[in-house]
Amino acid sequence: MKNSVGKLIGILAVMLLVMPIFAYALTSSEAREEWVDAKRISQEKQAAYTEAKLDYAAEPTSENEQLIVETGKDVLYAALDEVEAWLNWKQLEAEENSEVPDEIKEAIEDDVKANLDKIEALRTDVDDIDNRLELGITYLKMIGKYFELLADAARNTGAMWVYIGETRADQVSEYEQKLRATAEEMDDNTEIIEMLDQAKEELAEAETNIAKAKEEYQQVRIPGQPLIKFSNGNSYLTIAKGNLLSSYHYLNQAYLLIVSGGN
Amino acid sequence: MKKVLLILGMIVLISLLIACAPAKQTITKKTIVTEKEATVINSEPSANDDADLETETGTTSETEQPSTTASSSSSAVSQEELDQLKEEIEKMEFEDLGGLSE
Repeated sequence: MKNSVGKLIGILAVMLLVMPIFAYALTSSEAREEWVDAKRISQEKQAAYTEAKLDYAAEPTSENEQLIVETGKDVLYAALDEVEAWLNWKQLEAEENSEVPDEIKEAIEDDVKANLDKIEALRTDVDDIDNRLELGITYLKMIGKYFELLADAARNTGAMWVYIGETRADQVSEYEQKLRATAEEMDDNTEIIEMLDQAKEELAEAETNIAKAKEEYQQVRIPGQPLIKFSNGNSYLTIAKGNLLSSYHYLNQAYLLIVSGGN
Repeated sequence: MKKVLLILGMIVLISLLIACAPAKQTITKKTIVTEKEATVINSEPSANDDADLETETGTTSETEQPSTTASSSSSAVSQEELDQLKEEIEKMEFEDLGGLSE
């Protein structure tokens, strides 16, 4: 009996330890909010740093110089917090999406883990800053590392978005083919076929834009212009989204004509 | 022994209440968001989208709008599937990293 009570207490202790993990686990939308907050804080710190530099220019005292160092360090910490929040969000976004293949999820997870370790190392560098010279050197080092921290995760995030875009395009294509098969069996189908042709045209545009986005995302690498390439990929996918929505509208119109019996 | 079991029972109950409280809040929040989203979707029915398209294509199908649920069996694709597709396309979002590179 004593043994049973002991086991029960053990199980309860484990439950108590594990429960908070489940209760307070972040969702991807909460992680996104944290990133937005981190961005806002980062901008505030940058404003404080600019003000400190202006104060020093007006009154070059040692106190004002020290203020530049302190606010500069805050800027660097905030920038690292911002990257960390973005990486956490990207990881959760991939984890929560059941459509994303395991291969892409694992790649994002590995990138995030590796870069979170790098962020910790950079934080130690910021801790060691004592004067303006060290602040300048660390700042330059951070600029170099900054893109490195983001490039891998951004490239794999792009791959994830391309995969989702391709999946949607496949769905549109499948529905277009099904509706066409139904329409071809109808006598009065001219208008329906016209609608389906328009849908197909928009779908082809979407597929072209998704392919272009894929090319851009694959170039999100160091050396290069990773953030510009990432932004280009996003632009192509945004256009592809518009094409897919147009295609959907034509499909829906064709569907309504089919269920009403033709023209 | 009964006292021990009673105390353990109370601990389990309290633990469950503590663990479930935040989860409940999250579910409530999600329900509210889903309801809001549903309102948005309902306020933009696919018929409106089709009206835009009609203007573009010159089709006038005001009298042709059928009761889709009644006759959807004549098509291999349902209105529900098409609406679901639209919703999934609209959910696609691609955010830049501008803030980080500034």
